[in-house]
Amino acid sequence: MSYAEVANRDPAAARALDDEVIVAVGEDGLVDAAVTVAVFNGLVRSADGIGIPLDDEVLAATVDARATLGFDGYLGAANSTR
Amino acid sequence: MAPFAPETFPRPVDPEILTAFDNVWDGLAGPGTWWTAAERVAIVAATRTSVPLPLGEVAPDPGGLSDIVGPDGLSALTREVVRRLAVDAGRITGDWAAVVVDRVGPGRYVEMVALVVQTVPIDLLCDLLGRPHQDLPTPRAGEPSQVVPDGLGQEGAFVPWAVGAWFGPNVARALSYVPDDNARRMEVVMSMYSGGQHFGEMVWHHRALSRPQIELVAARTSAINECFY
Repeated sequence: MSYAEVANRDPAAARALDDEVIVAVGEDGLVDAAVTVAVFNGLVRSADGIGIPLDDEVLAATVDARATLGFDGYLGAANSTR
Repeated sequence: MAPFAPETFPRPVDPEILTAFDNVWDGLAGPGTWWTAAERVAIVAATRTSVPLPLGEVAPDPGGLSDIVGPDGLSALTREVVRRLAVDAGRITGDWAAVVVDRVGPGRYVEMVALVVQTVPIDLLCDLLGRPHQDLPTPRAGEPSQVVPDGLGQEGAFVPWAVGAWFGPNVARALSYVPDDNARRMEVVMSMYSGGQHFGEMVWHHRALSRPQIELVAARTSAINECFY
């Protein structure tokens, strides 16, 4: 999770964690983590740029979790409740 | 040599991902549905140079920005839309999008989103793996088709998208206004995430990380970007 945090906030700095991540999950695991951070940086921009409302079944199933984690406070929450 | 040939990466990357990247680059070099190839390449160049506004600086009102094209091939309006999408997407509101769509049209707006969301993951993966960004392609000649696909409707998003017999997740139809770019974007997403056929499976064997590990990284990424979806 430290890698995910740094990779999102300062990608160049994340490379300093490469060796640590490789020890934990191997080189393929490091690449997998980087790939996941990268693709979700595209997905979040798709969602926010297009104003995608949360799919109905997910919206219904996540009421408590969204409130607990504070997600309902994100600006994009309005796209699912208008 | 393909632009994203395996040997250009310092670590092994799934060939399916690299094929998807090559296809994005090829699509970027050709005319789109609403922008010429030169404009598409300029939009990606602007994506790369976009930076967040200084703390406390108010983002410009897109309603007041010039649509006169500058030396980089883009207008101030287009540059600001690209900047918002690239580095400040979490603060996009329905009101902001409505102004932009009213000014540039839904097709040109969706295609801007499409270009940003296809190339940000590619550049970011290069950054994370220590690979230089790929040079932008030379634009090919040709005019945008300006074809609006059948079966679109206004149904909950900022722009029209596929409606009617739609059974997939909303994210998959997000860019259905520009089907060619949406197909390339989905190829990127499928190759980098679920591999398509594995999305409904709770245990993944096609990735080095387990599905729970991947979902945790994905969820943290979404939270840092303050993405509700």
